[in-house]
Amino acid sequence: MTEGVFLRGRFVSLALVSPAVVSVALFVVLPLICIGMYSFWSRFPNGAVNQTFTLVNWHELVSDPLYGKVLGQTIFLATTTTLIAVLVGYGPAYYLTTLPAKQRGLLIILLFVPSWISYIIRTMSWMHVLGRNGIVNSSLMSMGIISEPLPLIYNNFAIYVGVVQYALPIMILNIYLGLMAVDRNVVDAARTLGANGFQTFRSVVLPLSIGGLSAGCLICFIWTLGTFVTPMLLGGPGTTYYASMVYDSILHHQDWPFGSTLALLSIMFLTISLIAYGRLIGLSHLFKEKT
Amino acid sequence: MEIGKQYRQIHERYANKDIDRRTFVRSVGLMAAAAGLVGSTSALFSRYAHATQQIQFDAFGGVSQASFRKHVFQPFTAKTGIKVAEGSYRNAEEILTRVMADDPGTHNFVWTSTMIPYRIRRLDLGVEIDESRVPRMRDLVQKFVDYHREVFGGGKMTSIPNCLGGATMAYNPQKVDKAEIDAKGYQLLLDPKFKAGLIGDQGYTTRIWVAALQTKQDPNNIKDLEAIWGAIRRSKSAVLKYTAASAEVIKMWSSGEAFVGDVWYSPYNALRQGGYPIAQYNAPAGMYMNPGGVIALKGSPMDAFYEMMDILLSPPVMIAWAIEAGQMTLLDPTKHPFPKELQEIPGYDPTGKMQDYTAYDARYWAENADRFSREYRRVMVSG
Repeated sequence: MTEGVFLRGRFVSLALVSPAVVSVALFVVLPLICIGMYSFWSRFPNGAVNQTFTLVNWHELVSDPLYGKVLGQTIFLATTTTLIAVLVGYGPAYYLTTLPAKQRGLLIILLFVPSWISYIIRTMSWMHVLGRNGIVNSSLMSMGIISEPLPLIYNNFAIYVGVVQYALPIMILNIYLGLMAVDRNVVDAARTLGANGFQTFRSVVLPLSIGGLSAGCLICFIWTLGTFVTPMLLGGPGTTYYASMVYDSILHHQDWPFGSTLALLSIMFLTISLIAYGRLIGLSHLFKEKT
Repeated sequence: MEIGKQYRQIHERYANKDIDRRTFVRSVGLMAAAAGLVGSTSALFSRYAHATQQIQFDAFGGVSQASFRKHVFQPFTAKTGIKVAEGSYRNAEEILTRVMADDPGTHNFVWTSTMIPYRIRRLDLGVEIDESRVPRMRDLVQKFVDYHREVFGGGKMTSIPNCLGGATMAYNPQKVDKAEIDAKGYQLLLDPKFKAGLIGDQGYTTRIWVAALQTKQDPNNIKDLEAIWGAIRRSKSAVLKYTAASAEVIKMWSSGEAFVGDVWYSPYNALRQGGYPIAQYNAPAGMYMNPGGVIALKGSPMDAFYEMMDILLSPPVMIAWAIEAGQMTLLDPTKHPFPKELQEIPGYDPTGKMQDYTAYDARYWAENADRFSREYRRVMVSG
């Protein structure tokens, strides 16, 4: 009897988990295997894939410092923009927690309104803001502050602006969720015991909200590491980032095998980052909030 | 023999009227029974039984495809009763992957250009065209008919030419002096003086092509690659932006941010039609162009193909299609004078000889794709 219940329970568990397992197998594992296979193939001069095992792509990737350099630039971009998003996003997230529920809900909706517009259009709209004849340059020139337009676009500066704008809403939301999980009684207790506002923030609020903050950092880091539309539209000559290189390899150079090798290296790097994150902070923050 | 291949052959014979419908159906039945016995699926065959009721036409989407719909597909369906199912794709990999992954006969006719027709032939996915069944090809510019036969078909006709794509050196006449353009030619694209508004296409083919013109080499037979990379490095420091899409070019030009650069015909034409200040540099020789055309894939009903090509190549349709699509037609202007609207589209040459234009040699570029693209990437990243 007990065994029957156990088996039935086990069957139900398996049945419940199977859609997720099948989805992951079909949409994550299988494509990864395909990418892996492509990385060990090469291409014929006519662009067709030569399905013969070769290490030529991996050899090129490892032996040529170019790819490491671009990956390094991209990691720097992802790290810097994530930090900027934290600095810019923490204030608004904190402000949200101080508002009544109704206003808070409205502001959260407003936070995500821009994402209802296509990401490409949002990115292109920066051209109107940062361009030679854009809002910033026109305003500064009409005020007599500058006589020539500033080079605000088609360079790394514009890419950083575009990427931060892209990552900011999700960062604010994650920090906000982390802050909402902080027990207000603990904050009040700190103030009662004589801590000033900054001390309370540094010793109580920040450590307790670190879960949301770190989850936001991880998501933004992964997003920005894979961004290629922003560098493509807002970058200038020579602003090459890793995802753009994968995109170019496959779509412009029609080199699937090498593009797959590049993609696989990026996936490996992200996997290592996730493992490091799990060791340092713990992945549980991504799935549940501490109460 | 592999069942799909067997099927393709029998269907091709039927489509070419080598066998009658009764024989075709009987063969299909026998093959289905055989397939059933060996555990194969007979569902594969339903497509062929209905193939001539509908054909699949793949193109690049947008205005060009809309022009096909209006000027070619509608009269074709009205005449033959065969419906046209439309598909669209963006690049070679997308269409080739689809064609190879789907059952034979799923994709029939493809409107295409650059390296795709060459690769389709090399992959043995296309059909040799019976030129005697496309008499209207005599109305086309002979140079391009020869190009399709030699470059794409390796001596056989495997695609029907219909239009001309390409890139031109464009400038805003209000900001750049025509005399300076004429004096410097493509060298002007290396002048840092124009950095504030100098743009270029980011594709490695275009960049290398332009660099070849700047270093006075034949773009289809480059001898001094070091000179090419040197010119690209200079271009990289002189240019404001390498563009990846037509929308970007249109946006930058229309807002006044860009005022000189190499521009594809399609955004050039859109800007011209929109009334923005844009003019074309009439290069003495070497302007990049790639002739486009229609391919029939294996397993396609060839009667329908020839019928559709007859409509597509009729001079009034060629002209109407080109005006609406904003792409130069390959109709010979010496035999069929073009209306003014069409004469303003880039690629127009009243002589019909196109002496100043150099056609992209798909064979050369395909053979060198690896080393060109990888070194180009290196130059772009490291300088």
